[in-house]
Amino acid sequence: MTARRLLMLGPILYLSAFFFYPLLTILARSLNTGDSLDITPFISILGDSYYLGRVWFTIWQATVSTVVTLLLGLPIAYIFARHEFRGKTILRAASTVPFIMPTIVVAMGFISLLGPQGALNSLLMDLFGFENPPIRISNTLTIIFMAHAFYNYAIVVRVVSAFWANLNPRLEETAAVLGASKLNTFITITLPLLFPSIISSAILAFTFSFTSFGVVLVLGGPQFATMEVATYELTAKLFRLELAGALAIIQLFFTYVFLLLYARAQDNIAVRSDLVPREFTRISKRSARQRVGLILTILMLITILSPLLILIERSLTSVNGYSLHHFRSLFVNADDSYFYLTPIAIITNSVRFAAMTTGIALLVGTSAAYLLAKSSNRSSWFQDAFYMMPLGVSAVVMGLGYLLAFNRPPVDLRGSWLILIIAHSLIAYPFVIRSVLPALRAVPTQLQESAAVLGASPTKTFIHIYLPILTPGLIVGATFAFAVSMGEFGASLLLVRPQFTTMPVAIFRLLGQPGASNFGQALAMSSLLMMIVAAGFIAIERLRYRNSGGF
Amino acid sequence: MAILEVGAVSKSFGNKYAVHNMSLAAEQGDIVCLLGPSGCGKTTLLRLIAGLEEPDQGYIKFDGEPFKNQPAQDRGFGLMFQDLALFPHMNVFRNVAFGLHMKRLPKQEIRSRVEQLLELVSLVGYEDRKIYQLSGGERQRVALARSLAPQPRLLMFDEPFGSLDRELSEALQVDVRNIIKTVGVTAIYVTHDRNEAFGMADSIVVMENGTNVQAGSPHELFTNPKSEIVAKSLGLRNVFSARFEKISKAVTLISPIGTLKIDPNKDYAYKDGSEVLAIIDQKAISISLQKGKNTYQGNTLEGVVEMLRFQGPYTEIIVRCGKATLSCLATPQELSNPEMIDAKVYVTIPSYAVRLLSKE
Repeated sequence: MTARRLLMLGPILYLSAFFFYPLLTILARSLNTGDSLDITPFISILGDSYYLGRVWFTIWQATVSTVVTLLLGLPIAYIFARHEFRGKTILRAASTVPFIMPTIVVAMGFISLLGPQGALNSLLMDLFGFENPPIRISNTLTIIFMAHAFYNYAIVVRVVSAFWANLNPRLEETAAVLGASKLNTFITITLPLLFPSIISSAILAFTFSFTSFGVVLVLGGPQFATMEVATYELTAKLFRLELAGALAIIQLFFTYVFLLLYARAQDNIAVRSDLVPREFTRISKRSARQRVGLILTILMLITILSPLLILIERSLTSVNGYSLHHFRSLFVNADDSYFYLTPIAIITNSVRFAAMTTGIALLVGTSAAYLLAKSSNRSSWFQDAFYMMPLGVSAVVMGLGYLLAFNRPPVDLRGSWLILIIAHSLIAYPFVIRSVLPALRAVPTQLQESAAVLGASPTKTFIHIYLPILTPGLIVGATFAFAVSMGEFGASLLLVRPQFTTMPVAIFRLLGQPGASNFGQALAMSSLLMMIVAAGFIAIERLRYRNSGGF
Repeated sequence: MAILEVGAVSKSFGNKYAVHNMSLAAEQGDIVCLLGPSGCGKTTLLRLIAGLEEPDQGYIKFDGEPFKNQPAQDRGFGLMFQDLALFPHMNVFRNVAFGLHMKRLPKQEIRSRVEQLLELVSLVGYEDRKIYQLSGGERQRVALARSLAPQPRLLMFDEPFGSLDRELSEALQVDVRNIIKTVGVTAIYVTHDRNEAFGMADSIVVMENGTNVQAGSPHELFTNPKSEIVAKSLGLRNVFSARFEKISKAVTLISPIGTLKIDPNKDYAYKDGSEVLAIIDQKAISISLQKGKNTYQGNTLEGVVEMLRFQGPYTEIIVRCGKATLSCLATPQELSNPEMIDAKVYVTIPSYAVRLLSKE
């Protein structure tokens, strides 16, 4: 067997064992409740007005969230694409931080900014002497939309600005010379050219809002449940696995359609683009109006980031002003709980799992990206969507699948930490694909041929040519994989055993217990989680593959 | 009166001048070529005329009217970029029709005008083609048709054939010149390729360091280049700075290739010690292996053959003489053989082969 074949077998075997098999198990479970095949679970889901309502709610909340996300993301994308200003690197790094933040941290940030005891309410109550918190958006749809936009706008910024920065400015100038006004140029030239990248980022944002779990669970409260949350409740609270399976399959059907559309849009970017190095496209001189726009946009960006800043501020605030009280109390087992773990143990769990996840995700993601880059036929977007599927499947569904598939000997993984690593790497490796693929596609075949002519074997070519070119993409992918694993919440919640508690799960457990002390500890843990993830991310901003169109 | 006048225009980016104190004039219906090396400010000048940049100083007048902060879309000019900038999301028809749509012309009129233009550039039936389906030459034609469609008052070209192979480029140059002349539009054509300029231009403006160093018809420039820069950018070889000495019956010229004696010319005011530019005609130089074999009068210098360059109909022989090298053509065929390299030769330069230009 050739190395090529082995390479192809790797990702496919991995996907079959840890993705399709669990999913089929769910399907089988749903279709086969008694002795014979029947589709009752599907009928009861689709015939139940509550679950139909969940499907409808999931779709429209994702739609509104996506629109808000685009409105927020596009102006910032433009600024980053076409303007140079001091502090741009830091701001751009900071703008991406929300996307890789664990959902639970985002939720905590919103609670500390906008919750009843949040910073904004305290400020307004102090300033104007309100008796009750004037902002009451906890457990409303508004806060869900805001959080989704906060979470996903960075996808729009990254994808669209990468594309916008390289869009040939001669096209717009030609339109101007041919008599088009600024507005006409934007409508007839710029917007249509950006459209594939806007669509592809919008589909991603939609997919993430569609499968949103942590945000809706923590911020929305009981009256708002997406399909994902409903699946979780059916599994963990009502123990109706066959119904959960049916709902999960319905959701999977939707997300796969979105991913096909996404891959299609990515393909369109490649066909239509007229791209030039971004040095040609920068605007250095600004009119007064542009300057005002620039400042407003930067202010907007800082506002967007404020939940995270407030989160840190809150975690350092106790009754007596600023202190490390909340952090210290993490070390005290106040309730004398049997399952108590020190924060050090929890952090160690998270970091260890994340490190192992990163290793597996790099291996699987890079091989898959290589295969995608080599396949040049017209259906490559179909394959692309195939490999990206785990990105669109909710973590809760995966967790459920694992519980159903690997629950008896010889493969009983329920008690093992291995199950967690596998689930995490499955969600993480699509990010590696997206980071590595643009770089891989950009390697001209002549490079490989030149190396071969100069006497390099395929292995040597890989080590000396491909690896150095791919290194930035690999590092970006690795950081995403690390961040995804650190923040993964849905699958962990279902799969984790108390001794393997990870940081997001610990935060959720702390939130579930009453009392200011527990809330303070949740804040402290969230800050720690955020800082670990952000540190890694800011470090890679410099290593980002320069003209990559991926996120 | 010139239709386009550029007067003492300057434009700087940061603290560097891209265009500096540049003036030029173009007559109605003429093709003016801006000739100069890359980075000499040609493209910036086009952008200034098009209204994509505003000059820091100076004026640009069209038909007697000066422009003042008038945006590109209001000038009624056309501009073809080097990379053509065809709209990749539109087909051929929509590209060509773009300027007409912007003028809000009726649909029927747009359709017939586009058809007419596609016929002009020999692309009949290409309306529905996608841009990426076109060859390099076809793209140039579409870009030309698109620029011509709104009937611009002035059409500008920024090295539009730079990316094509020579044969295609030459064929297109002839076509484009014919089309421009058929339409009768005034055109400004930027290039760094002198052959392209000679082929296209009614008049040439030689640019260097952001300014106009000499302007005139190709013939004028070729016969009377006023500086070394102009002579070299026109492709003249054997251009040397030289100095007069001992002016009597014959004039002695001290040049980097050696001392030359030339017959005095009545039209020229010689002055002892003054600097001149000497241009030696490649075709008039003869080379031999023995001294004094040449019968006609001239200067004979010693030299060493440095390089032979086969040029098809003839071979160029580069001879090192003194501190410089001399390029010679029209030599006995036996000398153009590789064994001649490093051979000692005698170069004879007849007096009539030396053209003198006052140095400015």
